[in-house]
Order: sequence, then C-alpha cells, then structure tokens
Amino acid sequence: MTQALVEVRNLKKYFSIGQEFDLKAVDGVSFTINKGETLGLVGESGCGKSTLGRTIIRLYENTDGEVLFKGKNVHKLRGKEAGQFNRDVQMIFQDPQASLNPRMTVEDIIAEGLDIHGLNRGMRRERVAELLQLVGLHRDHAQRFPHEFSGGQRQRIGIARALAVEPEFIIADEPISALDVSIQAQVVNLLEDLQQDRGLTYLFIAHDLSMVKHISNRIGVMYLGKLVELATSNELYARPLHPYTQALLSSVPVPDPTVKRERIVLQGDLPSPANKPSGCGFRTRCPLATARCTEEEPIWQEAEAGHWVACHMI
Amino acid sequence: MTMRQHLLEIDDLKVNFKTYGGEVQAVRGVSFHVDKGETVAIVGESGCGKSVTAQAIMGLIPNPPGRIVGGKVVFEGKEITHLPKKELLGIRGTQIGMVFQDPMTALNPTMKVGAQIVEGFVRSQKVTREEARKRAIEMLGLVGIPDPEKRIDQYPHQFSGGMRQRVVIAIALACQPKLVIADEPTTALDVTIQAQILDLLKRLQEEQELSVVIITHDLGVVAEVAHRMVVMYAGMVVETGTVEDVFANPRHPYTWGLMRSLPRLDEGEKQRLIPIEGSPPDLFQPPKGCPFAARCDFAMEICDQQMPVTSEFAEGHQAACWLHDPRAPRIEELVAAGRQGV
Repeated sequence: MTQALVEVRNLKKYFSIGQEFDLKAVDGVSFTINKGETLGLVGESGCGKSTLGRTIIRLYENTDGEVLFKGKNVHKLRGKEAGQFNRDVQMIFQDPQASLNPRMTVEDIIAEGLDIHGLNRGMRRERVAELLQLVGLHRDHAQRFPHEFSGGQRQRIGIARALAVEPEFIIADEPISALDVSIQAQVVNLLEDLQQDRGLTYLFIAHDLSMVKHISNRIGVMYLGKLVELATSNELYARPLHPYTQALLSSVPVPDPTVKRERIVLQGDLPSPANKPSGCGFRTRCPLATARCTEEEPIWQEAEAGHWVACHMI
Repeated sequence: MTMRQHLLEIDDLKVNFKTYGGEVQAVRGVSFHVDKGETVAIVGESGCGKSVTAQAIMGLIPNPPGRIVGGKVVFEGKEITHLPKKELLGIRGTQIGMVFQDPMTALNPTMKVGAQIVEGFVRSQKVTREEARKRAIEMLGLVGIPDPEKRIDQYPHQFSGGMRQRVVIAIALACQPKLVIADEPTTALDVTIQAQILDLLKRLQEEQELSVVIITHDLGVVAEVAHRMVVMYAGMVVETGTVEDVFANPRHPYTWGLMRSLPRLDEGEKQRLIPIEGSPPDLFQPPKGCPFAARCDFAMEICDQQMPVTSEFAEGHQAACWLHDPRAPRIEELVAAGRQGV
C-alpha cells in the first residue's frame, strides 16, 4: 500500500487585487502525493500551478483548505515543527540566475541551509564538496560566484542547495525551462538519479508536456486555478478524458515530420482568473460545452480507478 | 537569368561583436539560401548565432558593437549586406518583414495597433487615411483577430499575448513582403496559443506564397512548419537539408544528439534520456577545429585540429563532419564499439 506523503485538501489561495473580486489563483484543489513518486503538474501560464506549489511549501499562506505533510497541517506548524518542515521540504526554482545571490560564493549559497538548521557540525567545507560532486560539479567550484557558471551549472548549484538539508520532498518549479535542449536532459537525468538514490518525492511543475510525461509517475492538469484531470502519465497520454487535456496534448509539436496528427486548435485565450466564467472554467473554449456547463460547476470525481476528472461530459 | 535564382542567399556570413572581454565571433561563416514559397527553419541553442544571422539579413546589427566582418547577403540577386540606411528602408519592412519573439516589446505601447500596422505601408506608398485604415482592418482580419473594426483603435495592452503576436504578424505582412523572418515567434506563448500561431503562419505562407525563415530551438516546431532546416552550432552551420532527410537521417553528431536527447510524448516504456554532455564552446576563442569536438562521442584527432569539410548526401543534404571523410572509420562501428564499452 502506497503511503501519502503530502495530502492537499480543497486548497484555495486568493490574492486581493483591490477590486470587488479576489484573484482566485488556486481555487479548491485536492490530490495526494505518495512517498517516492513524482507528481507532474502542467498547465498554461496563469493557471495557478506555481501558486499551488508555493502554497504547499508555505511561501504563501493558504486562504482555505489544508495541506497535510506526513499527516500534519502545514499552515498550522509552529516553532520546532515548522523548522523541521522547512528542512523536509525544499524548492528548486525556474531561473537559476535569479534564484542564486550573485554576491555569495557557491559554498555560502549551498551551506546557507546547513547554517540555519545547525547541521554543519564543523564539516561545512566537506559537506559542500560532497554536494557539489553529487550534482556533477567540482569541489574547486565552491569559492566561485554564480556568474562564473553556465545556466545548466547554475541549476545544478540550485539542486545542491536544495539537497543540503537532506529533504524528503522537493518542489521543482519549471526547473529546466530556462535551459537549452541539450542541457535539459542532463538536469532531468540528475533529478532522476537523486530520486533513486535518496528516495526523494517530487512535485514537478512545468509546461513542457513531453518532459513532464517523461519524468512523472502521475500528472495533474490545471486550468484556471483548478485541477481538471489527474491520472498516471501513460493513462493520461493514452486516454485523456477532459477536453482541455485532449487539446493540450494535441497542441504539442512532435519532433517528427512523418507524424501527421489531427490537432485540436482551441479558439480564444485563457480567461482572467480575476473574472472567471460561471460554471465550468473551460466552457468558453470548450468544443463540447452545453448549457449545463454554464450553470453548474463539474465535480471532481474518480471516473476510473486512479483517473480523476472534472467534466460534465464524462 | 533563366537559371533558378534563390530569393535570399547568405554566403559565408561573419559577424563579430566587440565587448569588454574581447571580440566575440558570433557568426563564423554561415551560408544557406531560401527559395520562393518555402519555409526554412534555423535551429540551434542559445548563443549559436541564429538570431544574429537574422539580424544581419535585416541590417539590424547594432554597430557598434556589432560588425559584419565578412560574407554577403543577397536578396533577389542584389547584395544588401552593407546597404546605406535609406536604401535599406526600401527593403526592410516592405520586401522583408520581421516577427519578433516577444510581442509585448515589439509593439509600441503608446500607439494604437491600427496605426502600427500601417506605419510602414503609409511610408512606402502614398495612400490616404481611409485607404490606410481599410488596409489595417483587412490585415487584422487576415491574421484572425475577431471584430477588427473595433480592435484597430485599441492599444497593445488591451490584447492577450497570442493576439499581440497576431498583430506583430499583421505588421510584418502589411506591405506584402516576399520574405518573412520570424525569430522564435512562439517561444513566449503557451502551447495551445502556439498551435494557433503556427497554424496561422502555415496558412499565410501557403495563401500568399510567402517565403519564411523561422528561427527556433524547438525541433517540434521545425517538424511542424518547415520544409528545410539549417542546424547551427557555435556560429556555424553544421547540417542542412530537407526536414524529412535530416530527421530521418541526421548526419551530424550534434543534430543526432539533439534528437536523441528529447523525450517524446509517444514514448512507451520509460527510457533514460541521453543528454549531450558538456556545454558549447566559448566564442571569444573558438576552437581551431570542429566546434562540437569537445562534446562529441565520436571525435577523432583531426576534429580538434582542422575545421571539417562539408559533405553532401542527398540533394541539398549537407553536414560538416570529419566522420564523412572517406578515410574516417565508419560511424556504425564506432557506435557498436561505444555500446560495448558502456
């Protein structure tokens, strides 16, 4: 029996934007992440996937709902427990240029977490050297500054920093989007190796569907602050149920000129999350929408074992 | 002149940029051509010189610090490499249109989109206000913007990202150019919007018999829209050919490596990705020999010493790699040996 490490229950995160309506970035999302698995989260810009990640790790306070990590409500943790949570859960950011302090040496960047949690035990330099080697860099790199590295190397530094405090759960928010194609595979392989060696659990947020499919065990698809579908990666690719997932998958250009696919081109754009359509959020672009979709919000239900979807047409 | 003439021909183009750290050789002898009615994709990673090549065609290299130090750009049989600005204006924007990556920075935020679309049109041909307005509405309709009569009087911030990119395409097409250069036109957009824009480009290219140069790092986009492709690495062309030929039979280890490193949506059982190890060379001091040698699994001694010569395979399918020299060991043997070694 797989064990849930993270449980998200009806999580909501609204931002006040000084108007009558709040911006509902995350609007009632529920799912679990099992120990040792990689859950991929895909969706277009503005769908709330990054906000969801940041609310789970408590960079944002929640508006409603809860996040349970090892059974404990994350947003209620205080004192020692909160400190332990900050060690157990780490984050890798999209832009390695922006997420590393340009005035700190690599050693100080990586060891910052060790210092904060009092873990260096007089072995600071050795720990940093170990971590650098673990992510495929050299121990001599410790005294250099971030600008002396290429994008791929900087992302490795970001990964080393996340690993320094020996976390169990890592949220990677678009960790490879800023990297070149030939470098992306290097970083993904590194993340996979680390997961195998250390039994890490990942929440992998990205918009590149082929890479998410490659790395994830299960994938959740978000649209306008809500999950619209969640299934194992192979199931989601082979039998997408939600019309949005179907359109999304068919939009990905396949790097093979001999493949000619029927593409579902969605009309229009993503509505503003500050002014959502009534009923189902996707109905304004959905080729199957009916009157019911305008009036009633579809419920999040398990259509088949392990395959969740929110659509009236199912 | 009965010989088939290329619409655009780039011959041994070289562009350098002066920086505090020295002179960067961004483009180091690039040659390719574009024929009427075809779409050519330039593919490569950041810093490979693909955007600089496009800027050189358009006469947009900022000088200083940039400089075209060699080679030429020929458009319709006429050399336009070092054209004075006045003459260049007769070509840029009117005969050759450009679509930029980021539609927000490409548009003027203080100008109504209608005025931006016909700016070049009004300048190049004497037209009345009514004619210009009619033209702008026509162009907005052509690129699929609903309700063009109303939208023409709006500002860029009132458009979404995908709609803005349509406006940029309308600007590029307003003067009915023969060639459109699109530099990463969909990179800033979401996948479902990217699909819309690629469909639009394809439709316009067919309807208007346009020639298109599309610059991208995404091999999926190449396979979807292009007829021929030019693969660049470290300021040079390493492989060129029809999209079908290059995808079916990549002849340069870099092209091959790129294709192998991509995960595929239709991959069945999970396979480990095969990355290209290392990173591209420093173009302040480019290597004497093949720029890919340091990352190449099949590098031989000569690769570090001498620039490879270009070999031709099928018609127009060329690659610059020493492995295709008749004296080189056959790559199949190397692959087999490599497999054994692993």
